[in-house]
Amino acid sequence: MAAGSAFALVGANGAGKTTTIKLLMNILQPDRGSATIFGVDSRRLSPRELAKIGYVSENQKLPSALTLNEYLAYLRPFYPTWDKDLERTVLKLFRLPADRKISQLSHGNRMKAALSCALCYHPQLLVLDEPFNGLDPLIRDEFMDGILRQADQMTVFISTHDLADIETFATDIAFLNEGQLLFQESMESLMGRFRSICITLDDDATPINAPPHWLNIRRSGSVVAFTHSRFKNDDLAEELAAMGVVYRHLDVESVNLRTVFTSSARAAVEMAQGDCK
Amino acid sequence: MILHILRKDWKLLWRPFLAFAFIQVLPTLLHKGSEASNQLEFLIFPATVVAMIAIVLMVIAVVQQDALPGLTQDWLIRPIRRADLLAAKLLFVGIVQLTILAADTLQIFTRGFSFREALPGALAHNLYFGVILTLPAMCVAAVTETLVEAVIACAAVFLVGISIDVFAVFLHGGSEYLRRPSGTSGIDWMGNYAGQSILICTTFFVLWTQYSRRSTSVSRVITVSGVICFSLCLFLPWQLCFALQEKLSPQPAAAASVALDLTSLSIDKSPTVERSGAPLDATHLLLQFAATGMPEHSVLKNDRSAIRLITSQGEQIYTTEGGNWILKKDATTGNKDTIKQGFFVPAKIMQRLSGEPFRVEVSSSLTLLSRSGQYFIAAQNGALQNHNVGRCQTLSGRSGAAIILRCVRPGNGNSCIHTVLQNPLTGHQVDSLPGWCTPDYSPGLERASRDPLSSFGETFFFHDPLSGTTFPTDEANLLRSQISISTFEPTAHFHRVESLPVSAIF
Repeated sequence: MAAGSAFALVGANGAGKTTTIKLLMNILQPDRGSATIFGVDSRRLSPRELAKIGYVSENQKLPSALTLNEYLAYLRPFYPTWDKDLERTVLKLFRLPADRKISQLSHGNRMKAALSCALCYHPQLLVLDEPFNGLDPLIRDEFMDGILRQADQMTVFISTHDLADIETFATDIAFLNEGQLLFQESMESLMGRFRSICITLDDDATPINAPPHWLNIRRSGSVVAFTHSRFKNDDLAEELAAMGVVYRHLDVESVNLRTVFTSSARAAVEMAQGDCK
Repeated sequence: MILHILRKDWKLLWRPFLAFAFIQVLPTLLHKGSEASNQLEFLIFPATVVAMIAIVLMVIAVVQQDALPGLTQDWLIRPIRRADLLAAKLLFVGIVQLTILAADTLQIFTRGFSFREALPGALAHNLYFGVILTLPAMCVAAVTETLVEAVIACAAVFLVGISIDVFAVFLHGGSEYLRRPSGTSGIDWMGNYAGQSILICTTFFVLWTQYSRRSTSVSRVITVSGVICFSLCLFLPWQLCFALQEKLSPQPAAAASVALDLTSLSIDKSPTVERSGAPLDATHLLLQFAATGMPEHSVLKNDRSAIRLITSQGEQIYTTEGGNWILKKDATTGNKDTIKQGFFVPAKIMQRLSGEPFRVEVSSSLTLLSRSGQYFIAAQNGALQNHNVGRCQTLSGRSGAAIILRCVRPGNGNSCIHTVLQNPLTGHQVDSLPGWCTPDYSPGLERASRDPLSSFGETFFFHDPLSGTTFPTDEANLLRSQISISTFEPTAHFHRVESLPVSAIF
């Protein structure tokens, strides 16, 4: 991950996103392999590195019997960079009842409380593990607003399967499927190489031997629709000609991140099933 | 940061802590209350048990404020040094221990002892609870995430311990707890100390593993291993333990003159033989010994006897344990004392022995105790207080048929106490023999104590229907009567083997 980037780790439920993050944060120990944060092996993360990392997870257990104010007061001495002005700003932005016990906060407010506890010390890296789960749209917006205000000062690592929220925010993206990293690239590059293609063939009996980078292929008579995962503007006509495909009409449309994700996920599943067979 | 973490825990736990502190004082309050009304007395024992449970729950709550297993605790991703966290927990547990110490001191204090007298007993009890309750509770709390998990783990630990205990009992003959290798004698401190050392080591390793590596599965294996090893301390072999105890004798030469002579073996036809644990068809046999060479004012205690029946061909056909006995030597007894020791022999063995000569061999593990003090207290409304026996008082039994002696002292009591109700002028006396003797042979100045206070008592009936002795109950006699309290401490542990050829048994 490049410093200053907003890196999104996407994948279906059970893909291994949370496990990856817990390995990075030294909450889990890897069976094999290693990970580094700030150049330090994740298994040897010390308070010095942890003081530079903010972490928010959907199932994070804050001390429920304390009020948010009490908990913030508890955390302050652990972070040399704690900013009390920022703390006031964040609490105001999130409109949090800071003198109420954490156990009495709603799920949305608890998530905002967790984010408050992660932002007030200007972390160099903010790790967000499925932060939007169970949040209503209004709270999501507030949550994102809180992150975006500081996004230029830190690297953000977010794991989610909620793609709409990260589409405009992430600079880099990685796709995890059943513990395997299928791809990792910049958002710009990813969105540039995925297109939704619709071809109307001259002859509806023309067989098509689709290459593996054509994903999610649907055919209805002479109309063939698919998601192209290696799209280059000038190359498509050549590619079709090389395959002997004669067409009457060709439609090329940009896709959203959701389409990229679902097409890739389906292709991965089909590939896995093919391997099994 | 240690104090900072401690302050956070205090903020979260001060209410449960106050409840815990009240529960610790509750037995003392109930005891005070029971002085005014006996109706409260039955609550003292349950309150003591609740106080022990409260210690365990309090310690678990302290550790689990920042639980070690699990993946969702917030502290895991905070820049908190684990050594600081552990130190903060230990500090809070120290406060828990201090509270127990204060409650125990108060309990002893309210029984009429000075602060200076109360403190050693309270410390001994504190040390004991620290090792057998607080440390294991810390260990369990460190490998569990929630209170429910911890309670289930405690129950499992308890069940494993009980299962091994029951197994140990069956391994040593079935029904009797008395047959444990080191139990019911002053030597069982070895098993206890070994077990407690294992608890300390287990807790140390678990806390170190959890706070340094957070390796819960490894820690759980260590915990279970510790519990099993702790329970296995019941299996310490007697011979080994007693051999070590002999080496620890304060004055081994004191027993050099003591001799036991096995004089006879006969069938006990008394109808009052207690048969607990013995087969219904078993015969109760009586061995008779003559003991010589005991120093004046001493007590000889049989810690354990192994009895073997051996045929004339040298085949050992039966082995068992003899009943325990205790023998006191003072100015009133002669130079030669007789001891009877009973044991059961199954009908099958008796059949085999009938009409055949055989040999009985008795291997006795013995302890000689010497008088460490003698004190006198008036038989009626008497009061006595000293460091050795604590606070004693005498009172008349409700029916007027007896005099009751009650003594209480901080910490552990004396090893052996012998009391006699006597009128020195008339020579009338009621002897409490065999007396009160639950010795503890452990070395050390102040032994770890199960209770902050220890007590003993004796009831002297004016008329004993079995022996037919009667103590005069006229006022003049009772006014001049006194109770002599002799305390005894072990001086030598030794071993004797006696053998007796038997041509026929009747």
